[in-house]
Amino acid sequence: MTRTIRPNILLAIASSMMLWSCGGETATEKGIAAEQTDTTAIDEVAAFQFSYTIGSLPSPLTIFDEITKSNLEVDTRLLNPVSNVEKYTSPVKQALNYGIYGVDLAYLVINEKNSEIYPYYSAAKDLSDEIGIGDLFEKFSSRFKEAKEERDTLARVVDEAYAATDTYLRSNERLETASMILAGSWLECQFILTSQLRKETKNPQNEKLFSRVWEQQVYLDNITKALSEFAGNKDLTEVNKQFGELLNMYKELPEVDKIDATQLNKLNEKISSLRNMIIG
Amino acid sequence: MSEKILNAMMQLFAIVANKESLSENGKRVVEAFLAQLVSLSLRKKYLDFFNEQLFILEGKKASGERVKRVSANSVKVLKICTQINEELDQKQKYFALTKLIEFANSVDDFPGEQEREFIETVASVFNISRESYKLLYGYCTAKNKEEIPDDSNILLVQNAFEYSPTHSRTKTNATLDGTLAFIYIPSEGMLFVRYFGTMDLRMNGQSILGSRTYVFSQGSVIRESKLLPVYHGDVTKIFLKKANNDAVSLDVNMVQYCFPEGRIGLHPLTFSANSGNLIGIMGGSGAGKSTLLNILNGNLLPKSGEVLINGISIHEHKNELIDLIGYIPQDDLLIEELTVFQNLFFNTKLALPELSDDEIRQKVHEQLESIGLWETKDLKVGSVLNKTLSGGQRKRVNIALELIRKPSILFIDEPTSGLSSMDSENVMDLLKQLTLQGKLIFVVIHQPSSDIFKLFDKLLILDLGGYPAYYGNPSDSLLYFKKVSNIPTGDSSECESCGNINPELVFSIIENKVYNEFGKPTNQRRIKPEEWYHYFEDTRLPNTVSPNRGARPESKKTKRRISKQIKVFLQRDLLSKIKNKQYLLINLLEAPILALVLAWFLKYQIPGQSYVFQENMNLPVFMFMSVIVALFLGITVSAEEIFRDKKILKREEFLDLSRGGYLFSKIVLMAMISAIQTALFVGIGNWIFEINRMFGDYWAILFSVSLFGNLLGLNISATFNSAVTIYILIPFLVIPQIIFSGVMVKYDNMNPKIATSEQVPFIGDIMSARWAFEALAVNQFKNNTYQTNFFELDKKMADITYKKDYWLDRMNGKIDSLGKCEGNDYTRESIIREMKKENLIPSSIITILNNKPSLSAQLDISKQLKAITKEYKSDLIQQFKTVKSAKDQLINELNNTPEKAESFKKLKQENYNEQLEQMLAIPGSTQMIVEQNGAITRLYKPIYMEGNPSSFVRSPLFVSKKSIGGKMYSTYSVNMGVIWLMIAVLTITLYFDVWEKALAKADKLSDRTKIWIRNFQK
Repeated sequence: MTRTIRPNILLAIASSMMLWSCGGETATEKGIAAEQTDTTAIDEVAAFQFSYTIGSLPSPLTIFDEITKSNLEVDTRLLNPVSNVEKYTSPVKQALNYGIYGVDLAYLVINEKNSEIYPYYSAAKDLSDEIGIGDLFEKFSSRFKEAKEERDTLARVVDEAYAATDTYLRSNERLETASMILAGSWLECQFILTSQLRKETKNPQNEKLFSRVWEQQVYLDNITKALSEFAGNKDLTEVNKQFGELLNMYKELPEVDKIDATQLNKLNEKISSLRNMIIG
Repeated sequence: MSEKILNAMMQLFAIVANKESLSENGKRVVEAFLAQLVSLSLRKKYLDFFNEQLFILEGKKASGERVKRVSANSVKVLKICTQINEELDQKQKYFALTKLIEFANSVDDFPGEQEREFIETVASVFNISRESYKLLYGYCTAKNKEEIPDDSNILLVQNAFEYSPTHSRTKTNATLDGTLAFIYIPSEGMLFVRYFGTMDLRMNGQSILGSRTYVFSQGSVIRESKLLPVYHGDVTKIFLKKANNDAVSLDVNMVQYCFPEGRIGLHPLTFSANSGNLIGIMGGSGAGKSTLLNILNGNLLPKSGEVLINGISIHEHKNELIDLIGYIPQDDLLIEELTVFQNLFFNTKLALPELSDDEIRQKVHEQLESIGLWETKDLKVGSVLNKTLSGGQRKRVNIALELIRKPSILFIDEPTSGLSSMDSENVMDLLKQLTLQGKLIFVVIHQPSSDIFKLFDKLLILDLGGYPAYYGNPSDSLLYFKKVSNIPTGDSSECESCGNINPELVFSIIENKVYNEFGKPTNQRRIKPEEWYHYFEDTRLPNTVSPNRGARPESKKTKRRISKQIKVFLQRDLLSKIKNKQYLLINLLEAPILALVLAWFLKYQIPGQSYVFQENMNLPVFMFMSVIVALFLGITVSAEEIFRDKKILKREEFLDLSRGGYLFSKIVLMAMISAIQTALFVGIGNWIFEINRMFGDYWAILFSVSLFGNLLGLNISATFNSAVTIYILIPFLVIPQIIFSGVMVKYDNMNPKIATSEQVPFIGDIMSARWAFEALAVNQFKNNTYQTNFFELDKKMADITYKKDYWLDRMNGKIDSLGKCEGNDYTRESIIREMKKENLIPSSIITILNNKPSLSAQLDISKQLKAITKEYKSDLIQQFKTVKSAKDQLINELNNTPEKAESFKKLKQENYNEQLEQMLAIPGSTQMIVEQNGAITRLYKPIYMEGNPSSFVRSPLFVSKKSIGGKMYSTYSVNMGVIWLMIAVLTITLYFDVWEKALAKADKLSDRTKIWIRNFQK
């Protein structure tokens, strides 16, 4: 019996990564476009307003790379356990968690936690099937498998896959799903960042990461706006509300160089509670 | 005789004697009686016992009263006789009775009333009728020939008759001095002889004493140097002359036979035979004995000449004559698992369907008694290795199978091969007895002993290469061959001292070799088979039998009812299977054990977690293996069925049984076994694997596959003639089913010569395993209680996605190339054809495209078409969103409370399987679409596809619906139909024996080729 499930899962993860990575990395986008003409019917990159809102979103890969460079301890316990994937039966949770698993996958790839990569890939793949982008996700499977344990190649594949699925959703006018995936990814990335950072004291090595937290209010603003477009979806009401509250907390942050552990803790608590609601 | 019987006999003698002083003559009778039965040392022991009994009786006599003594002795006689009754057969009882009469007669010149009463009691306890007893008594006690009773069962042989008796038969023998008196016991076909005269006659080398009665057994000859011998056969014929009303004659006129490859199997043979004869067919290996037997019984068609039974050709009117003929091949024809009685019972039910069960039972009982197998009736026949019956008994049961139909002519192939000399003689005695009852029996026999040789009334000797060499009296055969080959000879065939004939001698003369100058035999024969044949033909008397002399045989045929036959076949088979405990146990345990092993080992679960059906990645393997197991069980259970019955079938040809009925009963029985096996398999397998609510669906498919396997097995078992061939063949049948099922190796990964993407290749379409697995997989995926909620929505989404993401992409490419001036006829046609299917192309554009537009016109059309496809795509996007939101809504409804969400999760876990979806919802290759001759075929998610309405049944693997005559039916039903169609085809090939005929044709062809090559080389 052939086993073809695995590649699909990889793609799902990859597609959530992509959302993140799309922060102005033109090279990557070109890659995706090339991929699409090869394999799918995504013939146009729709130039929606939406794409502008997330245009400058930094890739989680970039953030995690910075975490690694700052010598922060790698803690896979922070990630959303793959066993949770069975719980996600509603479309909202499926999309949000597809984003979350994508980020988790990126975190594992960057930190070379190779033994744990596959289950997360699987989880993301399952969700990509539910969302209806499984075919596209599947296409990255062979590349993901070929990359084996090469960190950089894996990271690129994940990045491209998430970008491709994002583009596909947008070109198919499924902005709601795309926004939710983006929101999920952003949230997970911030969760990991703040969870790790709050234990640290600011020093020249991790200084950049503190400023990264501060920067997020711009992106969060865009995400909240994007989500609010779909206020009609009852399942999103609570999520929207919480994102709004979180945005307010970001807005209350002091200057970038004055950010400290107390503020980080507060943010982290809020992010955690929102995340728990989503992954639960 | 056992010790008990001898003791009993001694007691009887003592009671009958009952004299104060026993005459010497009486003692001599007892001694002579013992001399015939026991060794010298034992003789004394029994004599002592006799004297002792005598003494006891004498003592009682002295003290008791006469009346008391008589009644006491009567009770004793009854007791003893009952004991004798149990152990002796009827013939032995007659012998004992004659001895008793003779003894009584010797004790006193005129046996007293008491003694006569005793003997009468003995006779009646022995079931000997009063008339028979009286006659026998008169015969045994006669002091001279005049006292011999005048009865039709008496034959007197004298040199002349001065008066002719009213009833007794007479025969003159000019060389006889005195009278030979024979008495015939019709019920036993038994003869006794007495001699009144002065010659020193010898029967089988033993002197005949005047006052004694002797058994004149089969093959016996009475001789004296001056006497023309008196043969047993001659005597019996005199008694049988009038008794036999069912006389048949068999005339063979210039019958010649050629083997299929052209070699002559039998040179023209002419002879006649009629009822009451036992005819031996002898010859060396390869002389064509069995061939001749099969020509005579109508199994083989001669090249020329005819075999007439009562003037009717057996080969032209076999159906009319079939009731007259019985054939007993050399092989054992018994069903080993059944008892002797059951074998006969079912055989009789088939042979004589008009009889009721009770009548059959009675008939079988009579038959068993008459051939002396009553005691063995409840013994299981058993195999040759696991013996419960002796070889002779087995053979007799085989013969009884035929006798029960009461055929007039019996053909028996080597009845004594593999039997001990005692068993051989028993069997041959039985046959002889049957001829005495008026049957005509042909026996092929290899090296008979002298005794057996003498039993034959006629002998037909065949020499190498199918040349007839002799037909006539066995005793004269030796003289004939000696005479022809100029060997000095006496005038006797037998050994002068012992009266034996050595049949070996006959063959050593026939095959006598030329000796070289050193006195060593060469390979060359003195007289070649052709030469023997010429002598035979020259000396043969012309066939004096008039072709129509016999009465036309009475047709005993009754209308055979197939339904009744099916019932009997089924009962017989079922009973024999149930009786075979090993078979029963293996067949009942095989399926559950395989299910247990398969399901248990394949029951994958994530380590440390409880089992979830959804995650069991081995479901497709389990389903596929279930199909293979069902197929395999089906084949193995049936592969030997017909082969094992072949010999029985060959004999049952003479019962005019319906082949269809036989096959139908086999199929029904196999189907019953398969139904049980697959039910057990599915029950246990699905229970362990936790496959919910699919028992019926799985069982129906697996049962169908198993039945297909049954038919396959029955076909090979009907075609091939060795168990080894059959079992070697099974892998050849099963392995392709595994390889070409599209599961182990995907069709598009096979050799490109057969690999096709659009539909299952032909080789896959003829594999039942592929249809079965596909049916199971598609049904499991589509109709499980979870997926049924979403299947239609998922199908719509998949259809839309295919068009939106793959088909449109491909079309846009074509449209682009049209605009870039690269458009040729192919592209134009393809665009028209494909877009027409979706109603996307206006007829005006078609017209322009068909008229080979200019480049600029093409560019213009390309733009128009692009606009159309763009609009179509956005339409599809909207459609997708609608369906997706419908699905989302459905999911939300099913999850809107925590309890519902929990049960929904459970529903999915227990019914949906990821690996199966992986297999069915992802195409076989990475290709989602394939283009051939401008036509685009979808390969994307086959489970959500439907087969092409125009192609009957055929489709890509795993589509959810298939077309029959343009109408779409579920894959499960269609595939089930295809498997049953295959079953029907195999039933037809089985019924018409297609494979065997094909093999025979191939054989013939290869023989012809060989002959052609040989001729060509010459």
